[in-house]
Amino acid sequence: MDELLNNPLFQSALLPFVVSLVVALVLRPHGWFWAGLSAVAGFAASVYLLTDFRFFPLSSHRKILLLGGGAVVLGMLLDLLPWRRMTAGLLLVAAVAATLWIIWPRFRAFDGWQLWALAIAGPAYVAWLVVSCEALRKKSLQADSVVFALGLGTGVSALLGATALYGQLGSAIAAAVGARLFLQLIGKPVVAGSTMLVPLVVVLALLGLGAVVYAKLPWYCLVSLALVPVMARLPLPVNMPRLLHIVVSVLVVLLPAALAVFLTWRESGAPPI
Amino acid sequence: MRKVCLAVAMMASMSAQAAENFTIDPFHTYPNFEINHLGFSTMHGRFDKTEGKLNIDWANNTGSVDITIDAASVSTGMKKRDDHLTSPDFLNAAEFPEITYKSTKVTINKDKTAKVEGNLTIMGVSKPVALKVESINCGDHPMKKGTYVCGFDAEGKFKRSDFGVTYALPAVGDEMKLHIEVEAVRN
Repeated sequence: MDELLNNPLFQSALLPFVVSLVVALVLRPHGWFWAGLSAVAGFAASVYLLTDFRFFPLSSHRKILLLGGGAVVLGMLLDLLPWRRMTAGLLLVAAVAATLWIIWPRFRAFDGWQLWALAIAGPAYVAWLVVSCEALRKKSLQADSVVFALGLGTGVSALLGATALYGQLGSAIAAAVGARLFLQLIGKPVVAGSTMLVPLVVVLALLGLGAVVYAKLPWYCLVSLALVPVMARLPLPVNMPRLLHIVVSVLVVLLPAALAVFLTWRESGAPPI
Repeated sequence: MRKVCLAVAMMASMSAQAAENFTIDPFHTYPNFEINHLGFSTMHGRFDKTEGKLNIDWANNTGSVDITIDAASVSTGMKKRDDHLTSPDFLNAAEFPEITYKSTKVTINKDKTAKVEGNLTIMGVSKPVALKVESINCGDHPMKKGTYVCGFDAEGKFKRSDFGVTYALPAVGDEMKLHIEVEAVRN
């Protein structure tokens, strides 16, 4: 049993997929709001195996996971309360504050243009992903596709070029959302809502940035990943068959994610084992 | 009364002479470690940058050790693995750049072996780790006139999981053996 629980594929692929699928099926009849928690539950199961929910020492990945927990509450509030007019501004401020908390310890290590680049580009990357992805809260296919692509792109890039832990966390989100895409394929889509999008995108954006700041992920991979929400907005032919529409939607957003993985692989090669 | 004061002053002076302060020689002080790799073999590595201070009180058979290791200077002979070791998976050197060891009690034996008790701090977590010192050897440096040097080899062990370094457990071993070769120049 221990061997299974310590297997990275089980921790970051099978477990989050199954938990997310089961929770989505259980919660689906209770309304779209609650079903948005399915992928969060899948990811949380993976986090439990990877970290035991231990939050000391308070290192960057633990801070990211704590922020993800807080973002679940924020996402639920955004879904429950009629705050739509203020949503983008609120998310922008929250994303900038969260990012500064994560990258603050590195400010001592930089000066000059590098410091400014980190202080401006870092929060901009996180805020862009969070605000642009949250706007897809009612479009389940685009929302699932975007988080799936960001999870896969961030996870595999981090695995190749930075840290296996960040890679596993990113991949776990991709697997959890993969279960929701599976439901899309069998004709049982579940709306994502801010409940799913805010926490998972916050975690993915901060993991990507953390992998650059605290490890060796090339910064330009983030430029490619930032294109994922743009690709999700590309118009597709309306008369396309349902299954083909789903497959094409996913493939389109996977392009910048695949580019990020390629760029990392070209820079870093295979990870040392 | 004057004689008593004189005696106390002489004793204090002797004690001050007996306690010697040293600065670690970074070019001859390297903390080495070994760890089990996937159950197949024992991996070795070392830290290339170390600084610190020693105090040896021969009169009272005690002293102190204060060592700071640059976490990013870990070296295993393969840059890519070193990058991984400094990443958040292991030492998280960007966030926690220093590994420190500060003694809390040093006992020097008559045969010049010693036992050092102290706190090792990795990634902001401090835990007690004991070091066994094989032999403290002191003398004038043969190639640097007027330089008095003390050196010794110390070893200890600890569990990396105690410090929150839990990545790849249990495949990559939990117990780490530490060997430190130390040379220090008297101030």
